[in-house]
Amino acid sequence: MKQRLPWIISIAILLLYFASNYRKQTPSSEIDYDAFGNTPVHLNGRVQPLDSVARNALLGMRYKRTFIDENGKKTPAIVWLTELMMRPDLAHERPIFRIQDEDVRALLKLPNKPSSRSKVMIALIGPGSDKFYYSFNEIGPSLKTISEQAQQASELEDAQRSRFQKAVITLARALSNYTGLSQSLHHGQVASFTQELNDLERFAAEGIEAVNLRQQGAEYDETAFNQMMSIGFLYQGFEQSAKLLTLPQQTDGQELEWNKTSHVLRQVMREGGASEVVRSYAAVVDSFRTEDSQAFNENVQKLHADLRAVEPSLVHKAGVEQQFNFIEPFYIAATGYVMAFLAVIISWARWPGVMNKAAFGLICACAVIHTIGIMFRIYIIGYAPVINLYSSAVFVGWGAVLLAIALEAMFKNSMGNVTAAVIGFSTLLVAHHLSIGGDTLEMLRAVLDNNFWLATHVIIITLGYSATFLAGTIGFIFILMSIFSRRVDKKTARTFGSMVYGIVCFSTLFSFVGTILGGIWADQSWGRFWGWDPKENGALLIVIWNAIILHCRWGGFVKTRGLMMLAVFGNVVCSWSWFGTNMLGIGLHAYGFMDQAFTYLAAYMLAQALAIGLAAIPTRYWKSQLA
Amino acid sequence: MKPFIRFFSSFELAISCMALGLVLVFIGTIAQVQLGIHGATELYFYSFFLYWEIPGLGVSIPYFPGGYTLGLLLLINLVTALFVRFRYSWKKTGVLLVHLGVITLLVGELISSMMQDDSAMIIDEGGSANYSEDRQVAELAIIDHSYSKESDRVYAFPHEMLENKQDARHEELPFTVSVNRYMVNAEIRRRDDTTPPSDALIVNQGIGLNTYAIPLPKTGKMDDVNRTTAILTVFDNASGEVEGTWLASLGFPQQRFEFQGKEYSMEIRRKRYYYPFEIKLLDFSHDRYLGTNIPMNFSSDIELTHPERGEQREFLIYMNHPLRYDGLTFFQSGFANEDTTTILQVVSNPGRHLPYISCILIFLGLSVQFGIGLLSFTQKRLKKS
Repeated sequence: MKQRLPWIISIAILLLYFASNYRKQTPSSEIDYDAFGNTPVHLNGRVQPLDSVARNALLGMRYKRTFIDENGKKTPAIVWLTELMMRPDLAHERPIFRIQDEDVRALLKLPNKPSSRSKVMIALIGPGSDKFYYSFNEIGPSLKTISEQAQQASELEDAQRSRFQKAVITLARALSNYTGLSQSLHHGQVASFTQELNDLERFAAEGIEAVNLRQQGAEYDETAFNQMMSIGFLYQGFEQSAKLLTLPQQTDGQELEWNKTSHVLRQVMREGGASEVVRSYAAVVDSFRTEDSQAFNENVQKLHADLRAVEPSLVHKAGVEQQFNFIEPFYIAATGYVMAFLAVIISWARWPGVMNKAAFGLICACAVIHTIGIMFRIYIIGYAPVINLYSSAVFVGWGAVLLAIALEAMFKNSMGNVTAAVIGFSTLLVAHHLSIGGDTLEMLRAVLDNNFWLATHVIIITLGYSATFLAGTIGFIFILMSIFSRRVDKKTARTFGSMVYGIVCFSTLFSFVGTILGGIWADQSWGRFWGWDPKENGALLIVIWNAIILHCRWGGFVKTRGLMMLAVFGNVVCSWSWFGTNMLGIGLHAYGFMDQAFTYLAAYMLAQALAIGLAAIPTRYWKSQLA
Repeated sequence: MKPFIRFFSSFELAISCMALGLVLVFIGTIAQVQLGIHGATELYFYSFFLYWEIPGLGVSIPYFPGGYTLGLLLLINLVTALFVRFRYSWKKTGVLLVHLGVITLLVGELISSMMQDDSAMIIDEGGSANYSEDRQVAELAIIDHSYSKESDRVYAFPHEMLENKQDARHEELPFTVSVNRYMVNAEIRRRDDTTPPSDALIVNQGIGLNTYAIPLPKTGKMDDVNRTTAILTVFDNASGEVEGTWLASLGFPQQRFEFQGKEYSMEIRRKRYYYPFEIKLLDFSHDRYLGTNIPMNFSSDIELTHPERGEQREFLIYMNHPLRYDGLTFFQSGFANEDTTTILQVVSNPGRHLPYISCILIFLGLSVQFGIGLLSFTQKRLKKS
């Protein structure tokens, strides 16, 4: 029992953390934001809950999925989105635009804000980024300047834009997204949406008649005509500025048809009345505006019932995605990997057996949570797990963690634990930074829309990346450990050597077969097996490098130390073909172009090069005696 | 002989080839940013050496092995190693299979690089086509419009003839076309008073009276076109008398002229491949995801007619679902004219089956090899504990 205690305690801590994080997702309020966040809408080519819309939108503006309310409390994005859609006057006060570029702030004449942190905290960890947050009302006076500057910048190609111009374009996009969302449920020109619908229904027949009469050149009611025209203009603007598709409708075809809220005008004119869904939306909006929380909650339930009447599975499926948002599996897993890493470090300093077992327990628990996250994504989007750069980062980490767990189960020497923790955390961190671009559950471009190849070529090649990174990370840790500590002896060095060798074999198998399968997919869809496209070349580099490692070892050209150095260089090759090729911005595979990441990539490669350089120091100067 | 064979079958050669290959692929990929994928591929991968031109001397010296050299060396290395060094045993089946797979792969890529033909068939909705056009290569076409009442007769001369300034002649043509100047890529400008004096001014017929061409270097970028251009003189076969000099360029309309009472025209056009069958585009559709510009699907509903075989059938070509017919493959590659014109890529590659074989060999080989390794490793560990 004493042996098991550490890992039972560590997993319990992880689960408690999980539970408290889940609780935090639900705002304590009389208004049932959870239920409203579950409402399905259509955006970016797919149906998603408003909760996801809110999180992704806020991520694009504030670089976080939450905001700080007037009492200084961290609040879920859905609260902000609800306000933005129904009472924009409240939302306009919230400082949610992060403007970090000094030149943009100077252009907009925005003041520097004091940090909310105490002086001690500022001295310790810096002022934080909250001084860069501004509200719509603060930016408001400069909207015209922003759009002019963004217009100028958008005429250049991305590579030629300055940092300032890129920042302006980002801000302009965020603002357009913001206004689009604020106009998605109601145009806000009249106080009561329900009243407006009633008026519309009553007036429609009269107005249409006036328009028809005028067209025929007959006598017509001028007031009714003018009123009809102004409604037409109002709804035209409403239609253009709205971003969300809110109204689903069954059609003869297989798929649901989705329309913006402004479609209600056509409903009234063609069918004489607004649909139940619009009516419910109007009631929700009105009850929020009159701050009647009980009515709001009831109206949301009615709205869901109406949406279910259109298509029974809509609300349920959106609910699954909302649960996925609440659980935040990748965030929890990342935290868990850090805990596991700490446990391994403690195990090295003291209590080796027990703490290493605790670390192993944690890693396994994290792997389960990581897996759950991936399963959720597969269920939500209906595709194999790797569809873009973001999901490849999540998956590379997952594959590496599983392999490392297998290693730890076999060798029980804590190397599997420490590499799992390091790779698991860093890939999820990379994924987090990639997710700031927007919705990561995006739809697939036509050529990728093929589950067979996504499930074979993409998965296999990504597992090849996992294995290459695992081997390289073991090499990296081995080099540091042997040079700076006395933990490694001849026997353990040999064990580490065979671990790396085994992983390199695995990596060769996966990257080789994955690359050829990619060629076959290319032959199927583009008509050539191999086109020397940057991404293909990147994959080829990994295969060649793995083959070089194996031949160097088989030919007896390298022993343990050399093998480790080669494996660490595998990290460089693999990170280049994973991210570097996308930075070239050419070719058919250029699906995730990014430029800011270049610095990080260069720093990572430099670190690997340093490790290789260190390993070149003759072993007699190393702290561990390998010979 | 022995040291020779030992060298070619050595581990060292294999590792060196792979290491050089690694560098080559890397620098070739970086070069694609400047030269375009096609341009860099020709220069780095489908070549024997990379050359460096010594500035001022006009002499090029090879400084790095190209893709063909490394590929062939690796191929020789693999084959000789299999015959000389390899000791066959059950335990080594995996290695053998992998190496056979790599040999197949290299041979397949060699065949593709030499023999793969790539062209585009462009069809409007309701229209049909019985030829495709090469995107890289041009040809000179002389068209006899008075050949018969129903049809014209076309004499096509490959671009190599233009490049080598060979005279274009045919026994059925009463005249010869000689090449004064050839430009693999050019920019066409309007001729006016400021036009610099050059050989462009010898043009005395057709479009070239108002325009002239400035040579440009060849481009290998995906979206750029090499505007192949030539200055051509037509002279009588019998008398040797000069009829006139024309400027012809890719993208110019056909330029008509009369010779001995018969009507002809000339043009430089993309090289055409004619087929004994015809493809008609019934409908092209391009779906996007609702509320976005992300393409969801492109598809061409086509009808294929082969009169000689009495064949006529419909087929839907879409992404990842090409039409394979007569050794050719037709892929959906693009569209134009507001979704009313389809662009099909037509590929013939006699080596296209080899990668499939190689994939199976390598997968089996690596699985067997590492499977055996893993098995013996776990057995050893079990014995220990």
